Amino acid sequence: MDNSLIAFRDVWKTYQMGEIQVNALKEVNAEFGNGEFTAIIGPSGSGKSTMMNLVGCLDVPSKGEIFLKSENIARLDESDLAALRGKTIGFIFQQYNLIPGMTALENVLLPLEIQEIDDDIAEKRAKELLTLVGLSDKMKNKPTQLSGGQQQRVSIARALASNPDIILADEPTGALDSVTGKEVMTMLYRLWKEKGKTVIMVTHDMHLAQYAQRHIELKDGKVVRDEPNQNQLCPEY
Amino acid sequence: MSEDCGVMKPAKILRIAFNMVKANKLRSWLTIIGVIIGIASVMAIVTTGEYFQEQVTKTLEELGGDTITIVASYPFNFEEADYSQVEAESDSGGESDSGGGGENESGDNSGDPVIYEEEKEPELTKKDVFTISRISGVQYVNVNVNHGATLEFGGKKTYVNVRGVDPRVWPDITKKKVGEGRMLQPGDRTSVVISGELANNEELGRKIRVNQMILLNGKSYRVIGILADEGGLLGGFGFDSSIYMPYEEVYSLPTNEEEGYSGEKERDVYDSIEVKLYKNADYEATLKEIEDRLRLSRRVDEKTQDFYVYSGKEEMENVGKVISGLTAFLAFIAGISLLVGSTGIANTMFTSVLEKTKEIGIMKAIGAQNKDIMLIFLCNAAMISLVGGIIGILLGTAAVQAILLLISIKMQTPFEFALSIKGTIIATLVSIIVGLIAGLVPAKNASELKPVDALRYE
Repeated sequence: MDNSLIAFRDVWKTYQMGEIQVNALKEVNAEFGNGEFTAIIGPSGSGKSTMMNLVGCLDVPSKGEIFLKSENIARLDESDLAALRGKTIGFIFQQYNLIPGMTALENVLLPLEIQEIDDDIAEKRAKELLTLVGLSDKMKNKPTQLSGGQQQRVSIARALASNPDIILADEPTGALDSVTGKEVMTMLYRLWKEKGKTVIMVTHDMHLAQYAQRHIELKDGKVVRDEPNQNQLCPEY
Repeated sequence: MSEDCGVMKPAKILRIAFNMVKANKLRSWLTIIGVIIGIASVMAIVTTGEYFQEQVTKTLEELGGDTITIVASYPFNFEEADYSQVEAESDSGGESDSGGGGENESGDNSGDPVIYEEEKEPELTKKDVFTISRISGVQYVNVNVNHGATLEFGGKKTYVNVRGVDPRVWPDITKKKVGEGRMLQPGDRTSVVISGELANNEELGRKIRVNQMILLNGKSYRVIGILADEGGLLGGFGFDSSIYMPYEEVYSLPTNEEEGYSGEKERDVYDSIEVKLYKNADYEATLKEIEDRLRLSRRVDEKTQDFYVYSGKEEMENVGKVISGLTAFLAFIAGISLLVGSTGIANTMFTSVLEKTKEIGIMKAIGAQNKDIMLIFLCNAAMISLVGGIIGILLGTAAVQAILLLISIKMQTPFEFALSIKGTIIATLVSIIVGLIAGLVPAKNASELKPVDALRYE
């Protein structure tokens, strides 16, 4: 692939569980192009989350190589990985993973503070993003004062804060009702379509996967299908 | 790559750490209380210890301090060989006729085999004063002739200690200060200076004032000065019934056999000699020289020495050492409470790390580095210990003042504010070090958490 952003080369991920070695990923080869919307699908235990952790530089492979923007992540130390994550990847988690003691605005500001962005610029950007996700009136609210959908929208705003190339969404609607879930999916779709972000979504829900332009299916730690989605859905907005 | 990895701004780290402290107010305060108790105890003990040391030194200085006192006396020697001869003499019916010295009196102890010597009681004379005066480091030599007497004033009587001193020297070497009237001076004869307490003695019915006449064993004397009351730790103890007069006068003080007081004093014999050295004199060397010269002039050696040189300085140093040791011991005990306080910090930090594991994972996922996480938790611990330290120092200072106030009330001395700089520095340093050490391991654990594991933590 010419515009490859992430490349997996013979990637293995092995976990030691007591005396048993579990191969969560086995010789995985895959590429994620710049500006692609990919859904990683598969049943529970297929290795989706492991693959997401590796794509998100939260973990390193046991064997093989992963290139993120030509950087072999297996060779980076924890600090370099953290810096790479902060600049390149925006995470959207199933359980939102907001910091409970911080307001919506502070949560969105956090990645910018870590990046040492100038305070005024950071605050302006965080407010813009919260307005973009429709939470301009909830900036001072703490996560517990927000609904699930609102929390996920804060999480999306936070993911976009450092203007990353990649949005990594792990079951982004898993904790939401269908209406709110659809709103979140619409947002992801628009980020891909209008902002040109590379979106990688992990889901076990085939209906949600239809919003992606490409499907990578995992089974027992192996890629069993990697093909374009011929029936990509386009949400109404 | 590494060049791009900055660490969060200190202000942001402090803000996040402060939010963590704020988020668990109760737990943070409980931990802070532990630190406060530890720091306050160390502060209070070190400062009180220093205060006592200072006061005791001051008091001892007032009692003589660096003055060297020489008394004529055989040293106590309990070796059997020294008694054998005395015992033999005693058994053969030889009776002691030592008129004055209490130490050598056999008195009622006829059945007691411990009888020291039967020779003439050793004496201090003008010759000794002359010998000492010629030593280069010696600035002042005072002689003391003491006598018990009955004071009569306004028809009432009380027992007093008459202290004969050299009026040419005594005002220069005594730490006592005159409150009313004046000190003794050369040429004074039937003049006396009395202690403040004696002037106000209730037994006499009314206050003795300057220029009033008093009777000592029936002889009339004029009060020319009243000493100021003494401060210090010992100032409040006991009752000082001293009367100071020129030593020559003591010899002519009438005896008062009816009252059972000691008889007339032998002229030109002194009870003790007080020596004050020049400030720049070599104290130890001069002390030794005094002893050596006196041995030569009195024709005695180390074994037969019939005088004793007493140095208050040595005593002061010993007392100082005891108080220092005691303070160090108490500070050590207080240090244990500080240690308990520090384990409280460590405990809080470990709990906090556990509680914040997921947040650590989130922060790492969005780009926080190990250093950021470590600094956040270290700042958290430092804040707890610093707040504990500051409050502890304030509380410790207040506690010390309360203790000193109680002492001053009890001892009837004026209250003095005291704060040990050493104690404050120790307490501040300890609070910072304790906080950092207690926070270091939990902070390191937190920083080394793998983001993938931390995010999975529930």
